[in-house]
Amino acid sequence: MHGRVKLKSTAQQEEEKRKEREKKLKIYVAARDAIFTKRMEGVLDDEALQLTQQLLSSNPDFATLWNYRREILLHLETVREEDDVQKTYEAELLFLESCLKVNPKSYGSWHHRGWVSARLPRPDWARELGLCDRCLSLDDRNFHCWDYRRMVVKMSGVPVDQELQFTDRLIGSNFSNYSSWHYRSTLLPLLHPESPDPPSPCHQPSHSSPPPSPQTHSHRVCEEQLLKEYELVQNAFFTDPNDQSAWFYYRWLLGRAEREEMISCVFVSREEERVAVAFSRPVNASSSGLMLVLDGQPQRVEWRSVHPHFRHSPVWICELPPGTISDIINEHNLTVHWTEKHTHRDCALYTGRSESWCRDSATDQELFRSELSVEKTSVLQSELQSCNQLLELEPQNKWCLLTIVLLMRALDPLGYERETLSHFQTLKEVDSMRSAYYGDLCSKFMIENTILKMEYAEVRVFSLSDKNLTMLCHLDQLLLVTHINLSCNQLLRLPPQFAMLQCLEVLEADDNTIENLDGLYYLPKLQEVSLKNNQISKLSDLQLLTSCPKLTCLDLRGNPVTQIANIQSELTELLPSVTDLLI
Amino acid sequence: MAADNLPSEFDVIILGTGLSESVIAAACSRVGQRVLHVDRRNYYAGNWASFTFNGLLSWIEEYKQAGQSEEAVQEDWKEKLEEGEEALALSSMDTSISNLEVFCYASEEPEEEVNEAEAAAAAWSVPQTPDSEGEVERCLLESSSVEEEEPVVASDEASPASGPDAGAEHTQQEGQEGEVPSQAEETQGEEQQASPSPAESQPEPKKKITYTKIVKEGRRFNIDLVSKLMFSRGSLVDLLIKSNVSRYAEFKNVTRILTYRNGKVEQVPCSRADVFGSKQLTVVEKRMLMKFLTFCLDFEQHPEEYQDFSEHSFWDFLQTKKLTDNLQHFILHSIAMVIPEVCTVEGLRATQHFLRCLGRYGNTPFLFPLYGLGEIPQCFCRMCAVFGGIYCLRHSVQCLVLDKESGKCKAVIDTHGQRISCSHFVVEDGYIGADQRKNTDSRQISRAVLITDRSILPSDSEQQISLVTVPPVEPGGPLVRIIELCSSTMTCMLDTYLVHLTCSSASGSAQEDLAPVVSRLFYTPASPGEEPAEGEEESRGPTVLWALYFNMRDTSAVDRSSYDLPSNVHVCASPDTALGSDHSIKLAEAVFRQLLPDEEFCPPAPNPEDIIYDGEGPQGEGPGFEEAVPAEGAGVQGGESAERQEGKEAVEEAEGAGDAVTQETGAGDEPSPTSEE
Amino acid sequence: MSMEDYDYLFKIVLIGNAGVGKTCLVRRFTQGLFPPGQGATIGVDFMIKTVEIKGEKVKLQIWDTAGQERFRSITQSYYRSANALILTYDITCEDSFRCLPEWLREIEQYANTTVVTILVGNKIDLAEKREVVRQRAEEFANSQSMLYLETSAKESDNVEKLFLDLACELIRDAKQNTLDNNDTANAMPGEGKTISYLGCCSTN
Repeated sequence: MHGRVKLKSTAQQEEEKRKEREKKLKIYVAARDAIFTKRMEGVLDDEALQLTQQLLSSNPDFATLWNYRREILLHLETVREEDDVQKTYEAELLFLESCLKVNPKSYGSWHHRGWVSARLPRPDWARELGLCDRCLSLDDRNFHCWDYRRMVVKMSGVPVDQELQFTDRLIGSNFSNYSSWHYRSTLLPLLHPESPDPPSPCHQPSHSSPPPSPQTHSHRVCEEQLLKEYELVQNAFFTDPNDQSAWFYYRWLLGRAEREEMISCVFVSREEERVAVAFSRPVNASSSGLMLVLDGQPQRVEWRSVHPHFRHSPVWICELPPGTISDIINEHNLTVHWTEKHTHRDCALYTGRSESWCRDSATDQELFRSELSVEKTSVLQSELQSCNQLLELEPQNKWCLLTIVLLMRALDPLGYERETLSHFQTLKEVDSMRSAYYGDLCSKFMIENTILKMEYAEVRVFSLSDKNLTMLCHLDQLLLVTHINLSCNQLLRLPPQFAMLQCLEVLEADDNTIENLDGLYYLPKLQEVSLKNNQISKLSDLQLLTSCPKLTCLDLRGNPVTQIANIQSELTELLPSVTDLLI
Repeated sequence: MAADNLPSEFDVIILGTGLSESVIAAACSRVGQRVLHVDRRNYYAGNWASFTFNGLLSWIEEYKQAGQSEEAVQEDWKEKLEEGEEALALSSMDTSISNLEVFCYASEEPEEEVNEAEAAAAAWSVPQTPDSEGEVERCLLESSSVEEEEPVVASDEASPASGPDAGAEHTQQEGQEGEVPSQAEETQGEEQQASPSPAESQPEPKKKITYTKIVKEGRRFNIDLVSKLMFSRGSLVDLLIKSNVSRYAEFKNVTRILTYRNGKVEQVPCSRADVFGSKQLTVVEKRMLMKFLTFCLDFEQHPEEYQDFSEHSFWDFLQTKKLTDNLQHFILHSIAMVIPEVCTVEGLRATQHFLRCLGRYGNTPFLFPLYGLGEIPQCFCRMCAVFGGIYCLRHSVQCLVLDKESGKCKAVIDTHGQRISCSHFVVEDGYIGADQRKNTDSRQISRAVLITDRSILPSDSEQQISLVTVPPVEPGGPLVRIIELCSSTMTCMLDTYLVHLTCSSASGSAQEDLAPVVSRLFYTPASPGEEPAEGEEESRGPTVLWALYFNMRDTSAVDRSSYDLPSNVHVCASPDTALGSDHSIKLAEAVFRQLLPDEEFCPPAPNPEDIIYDGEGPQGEGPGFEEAVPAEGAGVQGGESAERQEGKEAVEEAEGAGDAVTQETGAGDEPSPTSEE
Repeated sequence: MSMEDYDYLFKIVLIGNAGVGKTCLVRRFTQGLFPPGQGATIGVDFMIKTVEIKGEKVKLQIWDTAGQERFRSITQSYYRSANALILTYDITCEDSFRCLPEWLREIEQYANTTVVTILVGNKIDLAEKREVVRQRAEEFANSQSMLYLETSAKESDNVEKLFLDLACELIRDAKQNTLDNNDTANAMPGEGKTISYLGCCSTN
C-alpha cells in the first residue's frame, strides 16, 4: 500500500527475538565455560575480570563469579601500585553501578560493593552516600541499600544529626516506610539522650550498676525532643490512621527501657527448708551467679528453675541442707547475691516464724514500665486526648483504640478499667482476625489490675474469677499467693509458669476448658485443687499431681476423665494422699 | 531553501497548526491520507505558539499593526474557477487577539560592562536584526578572501570564558540536562567573582535583571500564548503515549499547587505526603481532608454519602462535610477547581480526576512540556510529516472552491494562486470570515504574561513549577489561574520566573481583569528598575520585570451549527480557558471520526526497529540492524538520561517485587524498635 | 536482561536543504544502502545503529527532517534534545551552501547550547560539478566552531568516519559531564506509577 510503512510481522519479530536469545545464550554459556576453566587453572588476570563482568552485568546474582572476581582483585592488589589498585576498584564500583541498574535488589552486587568500598585505598564515601540516596529515592524499602548505607555511614562517620535530617526527608516523602521510622528510632537516643538521672522509683542500685555502654544504652530520648516526635508522628497517623508504621513508632516513643535486672523477692520456708528467689526479668541462674549466704556462711546449694521447661526463669528455688533452718526457735539471716549484676537481697527468718520474705512491692509503674513510659502524666494525658479526638473521627480504627488502651494503662490502669474493657470489645469486633490476640492482651491487663488491687490490699488471696481470661501471665508476681481463684474463665491450661506459685495452698479453677495441668508441678504447699467442669480427659494428665506432696482435696467433677471405668480406684492408687476426692 | 511547487491534489488540506489541527493532521497522515498542512504565520501552533522573548516582541508588533492596515483582497482566483463552481473567501485577517498592552518595569539601562563581543552576541541571538545577518552572510561569502577579519560573532561562541556573562551561560548549558538547585548559587558565586568590585555587590548578591539582559537572553524564553497544564491521566497525555508522539518531547512534573487565601499565597496539600508535611493544617483537619479525599476517590461506591445532594451545588455539599473553611477552599478552588455553583456530582468527579492523576509521575497531577506548551502541536506535526504530510508555513488559502450542486468544497486556491484539490478541508476558526459566522458572540480569554525576579512562594528549591488558583479578589471578579514556571522548564532565563495568568474575561479587557490580581500578588515598580523599599521586599511579592496583557477569542463553545460552511469543511475551535487540553483533543478525534469513520485514531507509530526497509530481507540482515535492539521506553534524552530512565524503569519493576518481599518478611526484616536491642 | 545494553545513547539530527543527501547519508551508514528506495522514509522517525568505540557500546539514534525542510517549515521541537547536529550541504550546489547561515540561526534559536555541530559537504563523488571549494567551507566551519567533513554517500566515502567521529566527540562530552547525574529526570509519559496517594498502601 502506498505511503504505509511495512512492518515486521509478529512472527518475524518473535523469530528475531528467538535468534537474539539463542545468540545470547551461546555467548553466555561460552563465557561461563571459559571462566570456570580459567578459575580451575588458577588464572587471575584482566581477561577473567572482563569475562566475569560480561556475565555478571546480565546476571548479577551468580555468586561464584563474584567470588572469583574477589580472588582476582585480591591478587591484583598484591602486584599493583596503590594508584592502580585505586583505579581498579573505582572501575569496579562503576561496573557495580550498572549492575544495580539492572537489578537494584541483587544480593551479589550490594555485597560486592560493600567489599570493594571497604578495600578501596581512598574511598569516596560522599559518593556512596549519594548513590544510596538515589537508590532509596527510587525505592525507599530496598533493604539491601539500607544495609549498605548503614555500613557507609559507619565507615565515614556521618554526623548523627545529618542522618536524622535524612530520615526527615524520607519520612516527608513517604511516611509509610517503616525503615525510615526505625532508623530514626536508633538515631534519636544518640542525638537527644534522656537526662542522665532518670527518676528511680525503687531503691538505690546505682552504685552496683555498670557504666552505660552502647549496647545497654537507655534508648530513651529527652522530653523536649519527645514532644516534637509526638507531633510528627501524630501528623502521620492523623493523615492516615491505617498506616501501621507511624503507630509502631508511636508505641516506641511511648515505651521505655526494660526493667533493670534485679532480685525482686526472696522467700524462705522453714518447713520445706527451701528458698525461692524471684527476679525482675527471666535469668539463667543454674550454673553460678546466684549465691546464697546463710548466717554469714556461703551455702552449697543447687538452684533450679520451677519447671524443667525453663532454662531462663524469673523464679529460682533451692533446697537447704536438711536441718539447717528447721529449728523454729532460731533466727536466721539469708542473703542472696546475684553476682552477674552485682546485686543482692537480704531476708531474715525470725524466731517462731515458719516462713519469711523480702521484696519490693510491685507498683503499677514497675509492672507496666516495659509497656509505656512514665513520662509526665500531663504529656500522656494530652496524648490520650489527641487519640480520643482521632477516635471520634475514626471510631473503628484499631491502631487508635489499642494506643488509647495503652495510654490509659500508663495513666491509671484501675481507673480506666471499664473503658479499657469496652475498647477491647470494640477491637475484637473491628479486627476479628486478631480477637484471640486481644483476648490474651486483655487477660494480661486484668491480671495486672488484680495484682495491683492485691498489692494495695496486702493479701495473699488472688481472685480472678469471671474475667474472660484466655491465658495466664505475670505468674512470677504471685510467688507468695496462697489462695487463687481462676473460676469461670476461658483457660485452656495451667502453664508450666504456674509452678512459680510456690506458696499456693488452694487452687480453684472451676468452669474453664482446662485440659492440661503442666503447671501443677512440685507445688510444696498445695492442698486443695478444684477443677470442676473442665476438659481433663486422661488419667495421665493427672500424673503430675503426684509431685505435690500435700495434696489432699481434689474435685474433678464434670471432667471427661471421670467417665473412665474404675476411675475411683485408679485415682486412689495414683494419688494415695488425696483423701477428699470428688468425681 | 528554494521553494518548490506543491502537488495539486491532496486528501485533506489543513489550515492552521494549532493543537486540534495538528492532531487531525497526524491522525490522517498516520493512516495513509495525503495531508497538506499550512499556516499563514511563519511559526507553528497558531494561538498555541510559544515564542522567544524577541519572537514575542515581533508577534506583539505584528498584532498591533494588523489593526491598522487592511490587506487588499485579492481577486485573481476567479479565473481558476470552472463551470458550476463558486468561491468562498477566507478571512486574511486574524482578529482573535485584542487589547494588547505591554509594560516594562525592568530598568532599561545597559549593563555596566557590555563589551563589544557581548553586544555582538546579543545581536546574534536576535535573528531579526539585519546587522548580524549581514555579518554572517559576509563572513560566509568572503571568508575565503578576507583572512585578517576575524568574525566577531564566532569568537564569542568559540571561547566560553570570555566576558563576565560567559560563566552564567556555561552554567545554564549544564542546567539543560536537569537542574540542580545549587547551580544557581554557583552562578551567583561566579558572577560575584567576575564582578569588578565584589565589595559593592555584597549586600545585594542577586544581580538585578535589566531589560537589556532579558533581550540578550531572549532565546532562553519560550513564552506560550496559551497557558495550560497536562493532566497526567488526561486525554492529551493518553494520546501522546498511545501514538508514540511522546518521544518528540520531554516533560517535567508540576511541583506544587498553591492558592491565594486571606491575602497570602499558601501551598495546597493534595498528596498524602503534602498533607502529612503541612504546617498549616491541624491534625484533625488533616484527618478531615484525607477522609474526604479518600471518599472522592471512589465516591460512586458510596452513593448514600451524596445522593441527597444531587440537586444541590457542590458548595452546599461541602458545607455538610464538617470541613473547616480552609479545607473547603482547598477542595473547591485548588483540587476540584470548579466554581461553587457546579452540581455535587460534577464537583466530585473533578476531585476524583485530580486525585487519579496524582502520583502517576509525581506529587501533583500535572505535567508541563519542556520548552512550553507550544511544543505539543509541533510534535503532532512532526508525526504527520514522518508519515508523508507536507508542511508549508507562511502559506495560506485565499478561498475555497465549492461545487455549486453538492455544496461541497472541491479544492482550495492558495496564496500563490495555485488550485489544489482535496476531499476535506480542516480550518482553524480564526480563518473564518464574518460572513460565514451565524453566531458572532464568543467569549474572551484574558491573559497576562509576567517575567518576575523571584517565585511567588520562595522555598528551598528555586526550581518549582507552581499552579496557583486565585479565587475572585473582589466580589464579582474572575477566578484567575496562575502558572509560574522556573528556568528548568526551559521557558525563561536563569534567575527569572515566567508567570502566566489566565481567566475567562469578565470585563472584556485582560488588563482590567488581571491587573488587580497582579497588583496584589506582585510588586510593580512605579518607575522602571525601582526597588521596593527596604524591608518591604518580602511582603510585596516578586517584582514584575515585564508584563504583557492581551485577550484571545475563545470559540470553544461555538459548535458546527454556528458556521455557514460546506459539510466537508471542519472548523477547529481556538484554545479554551480550561486547565487541560481535553476539549481540543476530543474535538480533533471527533473531526477525524467524521473524516475517516473506519480508521483507527492515532495508532502507535512503529518503532524504527520493526520497520522493513527496501532491499532488506525480512530478517533485517542489513549491517545496521545486526545490533539493533528493541526500543527502550519512549523518547530519548541523550545518553546519560536515557540510561537513567532505563535504570528507573528497572527499579520500578523491582518495586513491585519489593513490596511482596516486604510483606512476606516484613515482620522479620523490620523489627519494631522496642524489640531491638 | 539483555546483554547488548548500550553504554551511551545519543540523538543525532540532520539538517540542511532538501536534496543535499541527508537521507542517503543516514541510509548508507545504517544500512549500507545507496540509493535508498523510494518512500522508504515514510513512517520512519529515526534510524538506529549501535557502534562500538573503545569497548563501549554507543547507540546512535539518527533523525531525519521528515521533509519539513522542503518549504522551510522544520518544527522547533525537532532540534530540542539533539546531542549532535549534522548540517549538510551539497558541494555541487552553491545555493545549499549559501543557505547555511539560515540553518545556523535556527540552530542558535532552538538547539541545546551544548549541541555538537558538524558541517558536512556531501556528494564529493561529483567532483567535476563542485561549486563550493573545500577551503571556503572549511573556513566557514572554523568560523562557526564546527567540525567539517566532506562525504560521499554514494561511494561511502567518510560516512562511517562522520558518525564515528561524532560518537567519539559525544562520548568525550558525556564523560566530562557525568558529574553526578541528578535525579530530576524528566517525566516521560510512559505508564508511570500507580501509587495511590490516598489509599492505604501499606496496611497489612
